[in-house]
Amino acid sequence: MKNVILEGKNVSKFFGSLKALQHVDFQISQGEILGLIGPNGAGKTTFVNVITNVYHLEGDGWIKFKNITINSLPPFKTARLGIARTYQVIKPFLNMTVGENIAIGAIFGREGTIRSMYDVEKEVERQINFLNLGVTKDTPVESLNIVSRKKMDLAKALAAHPDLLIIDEVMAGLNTKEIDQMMEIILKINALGISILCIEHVMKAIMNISHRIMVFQNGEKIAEGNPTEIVNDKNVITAYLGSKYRSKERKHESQG
Amino acid sequence: MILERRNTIEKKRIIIFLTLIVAGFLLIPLFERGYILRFLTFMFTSAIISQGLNIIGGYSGYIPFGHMGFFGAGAYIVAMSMVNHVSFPIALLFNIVITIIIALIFGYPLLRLRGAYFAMGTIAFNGILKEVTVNFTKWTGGGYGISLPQIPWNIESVNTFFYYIMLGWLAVCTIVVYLLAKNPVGYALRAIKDDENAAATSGINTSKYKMIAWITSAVFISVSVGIYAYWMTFIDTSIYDITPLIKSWVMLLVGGAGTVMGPLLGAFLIESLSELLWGNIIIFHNGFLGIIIIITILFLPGGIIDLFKKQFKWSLIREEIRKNKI
Repeated sequence: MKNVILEGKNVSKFFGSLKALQHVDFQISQGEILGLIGPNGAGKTTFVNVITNVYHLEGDGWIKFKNITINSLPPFKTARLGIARTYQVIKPFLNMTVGENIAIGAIFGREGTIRSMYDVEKEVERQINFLNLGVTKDTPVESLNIVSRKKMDLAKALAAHPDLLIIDEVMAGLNTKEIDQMMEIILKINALGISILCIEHVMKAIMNISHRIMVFQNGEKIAEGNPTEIVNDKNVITAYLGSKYRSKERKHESQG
Repeated sequence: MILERRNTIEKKRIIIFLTLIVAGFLLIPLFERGYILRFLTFMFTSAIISQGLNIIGGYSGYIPFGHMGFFGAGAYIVAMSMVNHVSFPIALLFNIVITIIIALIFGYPLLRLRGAYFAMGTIAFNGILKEVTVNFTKWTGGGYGISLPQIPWNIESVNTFFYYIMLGWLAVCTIVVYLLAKNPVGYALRAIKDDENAAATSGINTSKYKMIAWITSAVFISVSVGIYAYWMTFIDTSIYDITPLIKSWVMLLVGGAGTVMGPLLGAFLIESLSELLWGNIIIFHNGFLGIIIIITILFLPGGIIDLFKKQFKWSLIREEIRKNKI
């Protein structure tokens, strides 16, 4: 068993009478890619917001990151401990250039306090090259297309040198070729030793890159296991995948 | 490589240009010590206020409509100290310390508000300070105001003295904004302006940086109004009036919010224009000023500074106009 980097017990979040998350227990190990799937409104993004402390937990639940209880910290302190995230609806800082956006991660993320502005510029260049952004740092964000924006968002998160990266639907709106590219990038990031929590609707991607998958429905965890277990799980099929997906997979297997 | 070289050449040009302007302003009192000097001193005051609004409104996107509170604080702290025989520099020092304390006390609750609520909240803050001033008659003179001691020099020396002090403070403020903008503080404030939640999850301590912007802007403004009070030798509660603040907002927007030189450019243009129009077309001068402001905002939403950024190229300006669908 590898080291557990992020662990939560009894994680719940209510909005009035709506139970967005109920009693979720979870673990992410060092260097693992954990996939998170579920129908719309299952509480996936709420889950991310709870981990990054944009929302705070209900009741006696707790979340520990590297054995530090983080669920009462403000968002910026959580980020500085080494949790970085991207957004489902990407939120680049629009009045800045690409370089300045990535610099935000480098200046204020983990290790940010020990960097000089010179180091920050070096780091920005490094991330642009690492992700093959294909634009210079002086490009205005407005002129980027959706793929480049998503890559830039990743670069910003990586510039903070996180231990855990949370990716929220980075494949949404990309075409097949771009999805393949993005999968490669995620595996490349994972190869650096960064644990990844990956929320995704694109099944092909999540089944291929995840070591383990959690499935949410109506705020509850209904299944957890490796990709093959998940594909054959009855609950998951009725709640999310649908029987069509399973038969398609079977066909695929018999052909292969 | 070529781009870098061009940048350094451009930087050199800008530095030479700025040095010439500063030298020009430093030399003016040798030739003219009357009307123009007083006009320029007034222009500097507006520019400082505009620069103060720039750091919080232009960079961090928090719009304070009640910064007249700091006009009052600055003026009254200097006036009350000087009436009690404190020398001018010490009075300014008091001013800075007390302004920081006031800004901390009010900033803590106010900066938790966002958008329009923050703007409204700051108006309430101004109301509180005004009420305190009106009612503590014993120290503030209430509605009678306070007369400050006069400098026993001839009028030309007095003009020159305040001209240099105001120019100096304007230079200090501008250099501070320049340094903040280049460093993490500037990055943090601009990130907060775009998306405060995203900024926080990127590791930015938003409360801290908003407080820095709020206090910096308060100190800029209250010191400049403190100097202004000593210059005018009389202040009353009309200092809490919103009109001068609105004028400084206009200067900021016309010049270019969120840039270092924007407020200075705006102050120079608006003050000169309003002075020219007021002198020549007394009947409709505010109307003309309004028209000019509307035209600028329609065609140069980023402010006059955009003209310099786009190097006066019509094609680039047209593109910007098209993008804004005018």
